[in-house]
Amino acid sequence: MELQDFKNAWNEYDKKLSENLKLNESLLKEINLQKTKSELQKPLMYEITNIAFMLLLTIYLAGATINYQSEIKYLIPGIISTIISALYLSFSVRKVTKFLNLNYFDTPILELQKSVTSLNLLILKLRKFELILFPAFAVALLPILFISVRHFDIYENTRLLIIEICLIFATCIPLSLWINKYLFDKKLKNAEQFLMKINSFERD
Amino acid sequence: MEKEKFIQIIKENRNLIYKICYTYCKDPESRNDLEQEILIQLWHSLGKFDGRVKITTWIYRIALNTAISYYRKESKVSKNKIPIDKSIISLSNNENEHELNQNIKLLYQFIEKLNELDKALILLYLDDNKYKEIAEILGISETNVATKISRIKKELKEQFNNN
Repeated sequence: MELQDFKNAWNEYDKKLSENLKLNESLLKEINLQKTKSELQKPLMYEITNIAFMLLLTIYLAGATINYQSEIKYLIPGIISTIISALYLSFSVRKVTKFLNLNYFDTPILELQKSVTSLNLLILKLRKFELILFPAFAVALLPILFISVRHFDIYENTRLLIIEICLIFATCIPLSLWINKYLFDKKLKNAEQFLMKINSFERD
Repeated sequence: MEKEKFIQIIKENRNLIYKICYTYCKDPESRNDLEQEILIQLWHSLGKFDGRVKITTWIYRIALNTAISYYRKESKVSKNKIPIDKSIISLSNNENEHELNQNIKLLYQFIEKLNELDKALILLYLDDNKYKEIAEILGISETNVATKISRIKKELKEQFNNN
């Protein structure tokens, strides 16, 4: 059998569909399309929320660090946490910029799939890096946050400080290794493979 | 864009949307979800349609892009849509999917084995789009489209000769 025979059968099928396919208009009207979020908008909304949160946190941490700059025990963790927080903020800004540069509505399929997959790769790589940075961020955050919010000097209670640091490292490091290995690495590999598939489809 | 105009466009192109959903999702629940996702994407994008390309080219691009992204997703059924247990575009009561012509069944079986990009290509070809239009929708050269179609033809022939 030739492809032309299948094509003829397909045309017949299309005619049959035209006669029998019904559009459920009332159901379509029921869906409030204006308010419905597309699947693609979910990560964008997440990153925009992240920008707002990290911006506020960075400003707060920078302010607190300036307030306690005379005490080296707060100055150093303050600087470290502000830098990491600013880094998180810059990552989110980078992701949102890439998101907004996607022209989902006027781009050929391969070009868009390539852009979406590259964006996916960027998000995954940055999330991996964010996860790796998190224990250092949490440890640096504690002294400056406790003193500025609760006026509590965490260094006065060495035992509590050590317990907190140990707890952070004992939970965050294995957890981030596990997430990286079983979630991000797998997704990264899939995205890289798809990108290769697109490139080879373009080249053939 | 007014909803009535949107409904009219969907009505005129319901075959195209139905076939894309059917090609990329075998499971009815996922198919309904993909159908809704395509309609949402079309609704959000049609306001930006400026008429530089044919409306069908535009719909193919949006619908196929959505379908490919959906196909690649690990978790198929989303939580943020309206839960509906029936299709917006469906066959009338006296018709059903099981009454498909044998050739169409075989064709769908063949398409199912193709990767997500080849699925788009064969669908565009079967829908009688010219090589130039296929090239425009996919974003590859016409020569590349011709080469791929000829390869798929060969594979299809081999497969049906073996059956």
